Order: sequence, then C-alpha cells, then structure tokens
Amino acid sequence: MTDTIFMVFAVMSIASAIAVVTWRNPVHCVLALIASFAGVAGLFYLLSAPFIAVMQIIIYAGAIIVLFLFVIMLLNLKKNEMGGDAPVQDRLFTVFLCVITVIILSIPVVATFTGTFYDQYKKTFPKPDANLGITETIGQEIFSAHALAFELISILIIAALIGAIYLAKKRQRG
Amino acid sequence: MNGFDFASIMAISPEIALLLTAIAVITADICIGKAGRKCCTAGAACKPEETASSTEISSIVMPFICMTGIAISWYFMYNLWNLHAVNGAKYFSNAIVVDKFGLIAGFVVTVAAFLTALSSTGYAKRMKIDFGEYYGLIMLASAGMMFLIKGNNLIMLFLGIELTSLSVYALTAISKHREESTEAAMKYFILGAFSSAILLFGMAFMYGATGSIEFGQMNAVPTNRFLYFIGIGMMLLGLAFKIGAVPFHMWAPDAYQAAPSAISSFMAVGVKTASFAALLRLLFTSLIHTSHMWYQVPWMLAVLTVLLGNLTAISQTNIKRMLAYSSIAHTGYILIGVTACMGVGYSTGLTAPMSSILFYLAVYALMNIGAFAITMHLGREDKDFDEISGYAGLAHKKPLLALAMAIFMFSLAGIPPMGGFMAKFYIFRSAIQNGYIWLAIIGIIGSIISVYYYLRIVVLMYMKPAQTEEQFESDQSQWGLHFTLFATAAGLLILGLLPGDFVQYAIVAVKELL
Amino acid sequence: MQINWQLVIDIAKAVIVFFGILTCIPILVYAERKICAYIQDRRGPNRVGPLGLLQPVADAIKSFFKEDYTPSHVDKVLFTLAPAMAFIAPALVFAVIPFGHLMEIKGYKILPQVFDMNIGILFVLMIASLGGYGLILGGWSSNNKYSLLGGLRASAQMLSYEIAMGLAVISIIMTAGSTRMADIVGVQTQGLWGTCIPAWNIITQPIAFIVFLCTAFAETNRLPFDLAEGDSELIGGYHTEYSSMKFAMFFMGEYLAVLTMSALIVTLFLGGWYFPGITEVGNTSLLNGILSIFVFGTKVGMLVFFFIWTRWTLPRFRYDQLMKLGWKILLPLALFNIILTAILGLR
Repeated sequence: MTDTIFMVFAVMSIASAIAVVTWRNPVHCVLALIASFAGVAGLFYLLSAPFIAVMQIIIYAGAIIVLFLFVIMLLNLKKNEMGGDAPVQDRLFTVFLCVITVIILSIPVVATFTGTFYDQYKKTFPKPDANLGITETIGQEIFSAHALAFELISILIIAALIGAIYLAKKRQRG
Repeated sequence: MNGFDFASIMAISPEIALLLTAIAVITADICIGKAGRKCCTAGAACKPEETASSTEISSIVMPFICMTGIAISWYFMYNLWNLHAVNGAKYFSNAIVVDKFGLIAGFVVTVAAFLTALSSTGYAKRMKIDFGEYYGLIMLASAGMMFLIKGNNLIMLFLGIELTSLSVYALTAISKHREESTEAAMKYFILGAFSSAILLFGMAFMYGATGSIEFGQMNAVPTNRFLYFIGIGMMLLGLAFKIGAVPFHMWAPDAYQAAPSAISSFMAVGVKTASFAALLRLLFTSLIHTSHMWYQVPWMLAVLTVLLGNLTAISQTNIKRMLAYSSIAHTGYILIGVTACMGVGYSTGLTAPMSSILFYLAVYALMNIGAFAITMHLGREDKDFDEISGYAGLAHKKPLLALAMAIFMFSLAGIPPMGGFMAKFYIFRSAIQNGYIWLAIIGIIGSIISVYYYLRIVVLMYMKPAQTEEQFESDQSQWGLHFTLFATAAGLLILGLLPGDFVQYAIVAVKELL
Repeated sequence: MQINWQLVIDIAKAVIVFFGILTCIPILVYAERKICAYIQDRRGPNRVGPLGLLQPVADAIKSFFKEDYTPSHVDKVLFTLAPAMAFIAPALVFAVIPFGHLMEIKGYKILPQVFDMNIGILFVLMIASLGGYGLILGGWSSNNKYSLLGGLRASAQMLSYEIAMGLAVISIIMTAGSTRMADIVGVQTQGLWGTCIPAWNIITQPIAFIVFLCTAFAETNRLPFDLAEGDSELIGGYHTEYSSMKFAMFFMGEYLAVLTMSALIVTLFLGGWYFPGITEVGNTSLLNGILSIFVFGTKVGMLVFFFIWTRWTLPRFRYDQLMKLGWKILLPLALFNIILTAILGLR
C-alpha cells in the first residue's frame, strides 16, 4: 500500500517536473511546478515528516508560486514577446547535459538499492523515529541545537530584504 | 555548550559587533535621510544645498561608523586570540568553532572590509550610491564571511555562504543607474544561486552518507560510498564556484568589471578568503581520510585556473577585467597550496602549505585592494578609471600614485621585495617539499606569463606620454583613498621584507586547526 | 467476511460531512438574500415556494440547464479547472475540523471529525494558501482585462493576508501547545482562572481574534475585501467570463468558504463544540455528542450571520487601503500579539 502511494507521488513529482521544463505556456509550467511540489510534499509525508510536507506546500505552493504567477500575469507576455526557440544544437546540448546529470545522480540511488549492498544498508540504517518529523521535535531542535542557525537565517533574510528593496526602489539622491 | 551563555556570546562577539554595526548604519541612514527630507518638505521648495549638506554628513559618518564597528570587532578578536581556554572550543552545539585559524582568516576579511569602508568615503558619494544600503550590506557580507570561516557544520557553512553571496549580489548592482552593473549582478546571481543549490544538494548527500553534518563527525567511514562520492563532488563544485576556479569562473570578469571598484576588491578578497578558509576547514578536518576519492580535483582545478586565468588576462584592455582574470589566476596559485596540503605524509607536511595559504590570502588582500583603489582614485563622476591605455604617462603627472600602482603591480606579479613574491615563494616551496614539483613549475610558468600584463601597465605609466592634459584630474578630496593606498603599499612592503612574524602566527593558527 | 466497521464509519463520516456542507450552501444563499433584503428594507425572495424557500432550488435548476458556454479566446483547461479548485479547497478544510464530542455507541467510537490530523491547523493553513488559486487562474485563463485585474488583485490579497493569518494562528498554537485541532478545542474547555467562564481564545487572545477575523474576510473574498470580484469596477472580476455551472461552482465555493471560515473561527476562538452547562467534556454518550454538534452548528450559524451582516453593511476597501491594512496594521499587530503571548504566557 505504502509502495503504491509512494509510486503515485514519485511519478507525480517527476512527471510534473518534466512538464515544467517542456511546456511552453508559463502559467501551465507554474501549475506543473505546484503539482511537483505537492508530489514532493507527499513523499515527505510518507517519510513521517508531516511538518516539512505542510511547510513545502504553504511556503512554495502557497507563497512563492503565487508570486511567480503574479509576475507572469503582470507581464502578461504574448507569444511573440517571449523570444523564439533556442537553436536546435543548443537544445540538443541541453538534453545531453540533462541526461548526463540524471545518470550521475542515479548512480548512488541505483547502487544503494540493488545488490548485496542493499541488505547491508537496510541493516545499518535503522528506520527513522516516527517522532522525528513532528512539529514538537522540530521546534525543540530549532530552538536548542540549531538556535544559532535559526538566528542567522533571520539575518540572511534581512540581507536579502535590504538588497531587494534597494534594487526595486526608485532613486532618491543624485 | 549549547545555549546562549556568556562564553558562547563572547565566541561570536566579533560577528555580533559587525551585525550591530550594519544595523547602526542603516538606522543612521534613515535618521540622516529623514533630517534631509524634513529640510525639503518644510520649505516650499527643496533647497539643494541642505540636501547636499546631509549627504555630505552621511558620506563621512557612515564609513566612520563602519570602521568603528570593525575596530570593536578587532578588539573582540584580540580577546579571543589571547583566551587560551577558547582555542578550538566549540559553541552552540558544535555549530561554531573558535580557533586561531579562523581568527586570522577573519582578521584578513575584516581588514578588507575596513579598507573598503575607508576608501569609500568620497567614492560612494561620487558614484551616487545610497550610503545606508551600501555600508550596511558590506557589514552584513563581512559578518557572513566571519560565520563562514567559523562554521563547524554544513548548515553554518551554507548559511555563511548565502549571507555573503546575497549581500554581494546586491552590492554588485549597487549603482543602479548603470545597466551593465545590473546585468552583471543578474548573471552573478543566477549562476551563484545555481551553484548554491548544487552545494546544498551535495550537503544533503553527505548527510545521507555519513549521518552527520558536523565537520569533526563526518569523518566516520561512509555507510554509502556512492552517495558520499557524489556528495563530495557536488560540494567541491559549489565551493569552486565561490572561489572562482576555472571552469566555474565565468561570473567573475563580468561582475568585477561592472561593480564599483570598491566592491570588486571587497568581493575578490573577502569572498575568496572566507571561502578558502571554509574549504580548508572542510577538506582537512572532515574529508581528508577519504582523500583517495577526490585528490585529483584540487590539482586539476589548480592547473586549469593558473593557465587559463593568466592567458586570458593578457588580452584584456580593461584593467578591472584584467584584475578579475588575475584574481582567477591567484585562486589557482592558492589551489596549488591546497594540493600541496595533500602531499606525501600529509600529517607532518600540512603546516607549511596551509600557513602559506593564509599568508597568501593576506598579501593578496592588500595588493588587490590597492590596485582597485587606484582605479577609484583616478575615476571621475560615476565612472572608474578602467581603460588600461589611459594609464599612459601617469608617472609624469602623479608620481606618487604611479609609484603605488607600480608597487601593487610588482607585488601581483610576484617580484621581490614585495609581499607577493614571498607569498608565491612560500606556496611553491611547500608544493615542492610535498612532492608536487611539476605543479610548482606550472605555477611559475603562470607567474612568468603574468609578468607581461602586470608590467605593461608600469611601462605605460613611466615610459609613455599622457594622451591628454587633464585626464588625471580628480575632482574631490580623496583622503580616505590616500590612507588606503598608503596602508596597502606599506603593508605589502613590510610583508615582503619581514614576512617572518605573520608566517609564525599563521603556523600557530594552522597547528590549531589540525 | 469480516466487516471493518471502524473503516465503514470513517468513510461514512467523510461522505456525510461532504454532503452535509453541500446541503448548507442553499440555506446560506437563502439566508443571505433574506438578510440582505431585511437590511435594505425590502422583502427578498418570496415567490418560489412558501416565503421564497424554494428560491435556491430554482437557482440551482437554472444553473444546471443554462448553456455551458466557453468563450473561444480562453485557456480551456485552466478555465475549467479554476472553478473546481475554488470549490474543492474550502471543502477540504472541513476534513480536520472537530465538530462535536466523541461518541461511543456499542463499543464503536465515533469522533465527529473526518481526519484527526496531528498537524490539523497547519493543514488548514496549507489549504488556505492554495485556496486563492481558483480565483487567480480563473482570472488569468479568461483572457479578459477585467478578469486579469481581478486575478492579480486576488493573488496579492491572498498573499498579504495569509501572512497575518498564519501569525495569528501561531499565537493560538502557542496557547494550546499543539497543532492538533482537538487539542486546541480541548484547551478552551477549561475554566478561566478557576471560574466557570470558559477559557475561549476570544477572551484570552482578543488581538489574535481580531486579526484572524479580518484576514478571514479577506481570504473568503467577501465584502469589505471583495476587490477580486469588485462588480462595480471590474464587472465581476475573475468570473466575468463565467456562466452556468462553472459560475455556480465559483458561487458555491464562496459560500463554502464562508462556512468553513466560520467553522474555523468557532474552533479556534469560540471553544468549538463546547458550551458550559450544555456539553460536558469526557461524556461519550450519544446525547452529549448530538448536543455538542448542535452547539457547534449554532455557533457557526451565528458567525455566518455576522459574515452576511458585514457584507451588506460595509463598503469596499480601496486597493491601497487593503494593502496598508494587511501589511502595516494586521501584520505588526499579529507579531506584537505573538510577543505578548510569549511574555505573558497567556494560556
């Protein structure tokens, strides 16, 4: 049962990720991206990390993608304004690079889950604690072990905010 | 120690000082700006002289706040250096490590930030940059670099890199009215975000393979070698981008050329120093036991970077672009040092190459900042003085400036008695000692190539007549730049003639890391 | 064959709840028209059936039999998908709302809640964050400038108010110490300071209540925040091009959103199914369960009335006022409330 659900989510996230890069209409691509995020969120849920799963949807699908849509709709480009297709050799090269990357990244996955290695791997890697992914545990970890990282993230966001506002605002001086 | 107790706070006190300075600068900008605006709104018409006076005040006050903050941070670093109890101690659940290696690298970074702030006193106003964001982002970037240097786990490494990079992306585009600036920042941003993603992906793999994100803990034998291997590859790729190693260097020339010179030098020096410190810490505390998996990477990068950086620099006509390629070449020399660290019997032979890297980074900081400061000094209106042909005859009009430029060029080329010579000498010597003679030879070939394009500028300055009469007239008081030029030139001479003390400090520092 | 009765109960619960809230929609529509008429001093629907009670049925029949017309210039897939999304998202929220006390009949436990999720309140926020897509996509796919403006407004408004809403919810999570809806209700069933006044969050967290109420209006796109629809300026906004059943889906989605938002406010701030003296905590008898569902329904009904009352009383916000309220008032207020909650330890 879990395997079936896993397959559904996995296929959903991969298929929609492919759709994101192959479809031509930007709004359709963005929707496919939401589906991809939803698939990944489902995978997180299966890994007994419900908090991460929900955050994946709230932050990415709920906030960031809305901003994508907002920008796309503000620009509201017509087909001829989006620039023509890249030359064939460029596109072939892109496909080539993608295939190479997929192969490289699949090596560890395939190697991990096949052969004698897998048996040893299953033994050495215990099943994760179901309490690990729940909100309480994450909250306690963030505010004790990773407190400094948490504070640093807020500084990181301030830096990003200052940069973004500076670049977006109109000039006052000069 | 886990919590925010006194010792932990003291451990990150230099960073806290920098962050508070950033906030102080931004607040001061708002206050002064408000005062200026009040002048405008109170009267019926805007009085330009009152706005100008508020700009004048802030153009002096802001860098002064920055320099004070950095001085305070130096005081805290000095305290930490003298506290023997803290050396190598880890704080915040092992997220931060305080050791002399980190303190020296942090000192180099803050010196770069100090000189950047000092040289920007008149410059930022001339370039029509908004001061608050400019100095605030410089301070935030330096804090990010300090955290990057001190970080002891993958999360801190990533956060440090991101804080640094995000600030620097925005700083690249800080003169918004210039289109090429925005374009270069965009390129830098997209490539940088991509490399950060790859770095993060690699970190996830490493965590999966070793079950830990802490530098000391990751050296357990990996459970899953395949994940580990790919993870190392992706992490090295991400870091190679940040240090600007070939073939991940494409962003550097555009970004250095388009950014204001003060930022170009800060970017080249600060980001490079911090990233190299983090790279050394990562490689030689956590990954060295699996060096059979990745030992080819540093020397390959080194060879490519030295040769390509130097060869491309020859054909440049823009001095900032030339300095960008030279900065790539210098990354290559430092990578030779990194390779030397993995030489035969690394546990005994590690001190010499690693301390020479620290020394090189310090020298590089001075000569690079100095060279960029010249382009700032001669620039007019909102432009930097960046055409190489424009330097013809500088020695006849401004002999002191030409002398300083000659010092920087000689040092960059590695000609005695400048600091650059000693730096290269230490690096190549340690490479030879650890059995990488051929790599040292490649480095020397690279240096010989570089002599051509560095000395071309000296030849132009001293042996060619000036093109026009008034081209070296600078229109503002530039005392900050004068201080910067004097400090960097003097520092290079001192480090070149008496390198012993700093090298001793570096050796002490490196011994603590290992 | 052994029948897993617990599973049957769970499935039956889901079906009953879904059709239950669907049944509520015509009642809501009728109530809105009648209340609006009362406020405007007219009679309202009074021709179809006694007191006009069959008016919603007539409306439904009309929607069904009207030609399902899709304009030629629209993005067909998204044009069809958008109303479905607008309709389904609020319905999903009801899955995690506990609308009654646990009942035990012949050993079978019946919990009046479709799915007792550990992260219930976060699930609600998640669905709320997806809820605006129906409007945005409807506006974009219609390929009409009024619709596009409506969609743009919907996306900006949704994003701005979601943040304040999430922050208001955080202070509720802090009081309850849990993200489970049942725990959030449970903490409100105790007495306040040892008296019989229930510790409803509306009393302990008044600021969070005000912020949440404002954002709830914005998220449901009701007046005074119906800028995405704005019939007097945008001719219906995102649904200008829609007619017949697709329009009806948007229409029903809006009422469904009002219903779920009311239920949510009741659960988070008004003690859920609990009312002192009527329902008891820990009593698993059938009577107590039915009473608790009745209490919950009554509270929701009163809030729905409040929603309708507001709609026909207040004028529409201007766009800049909307943004100002969201970012400059509600957001700092919610943040301030979190700090206050942390300092005072307001239980």
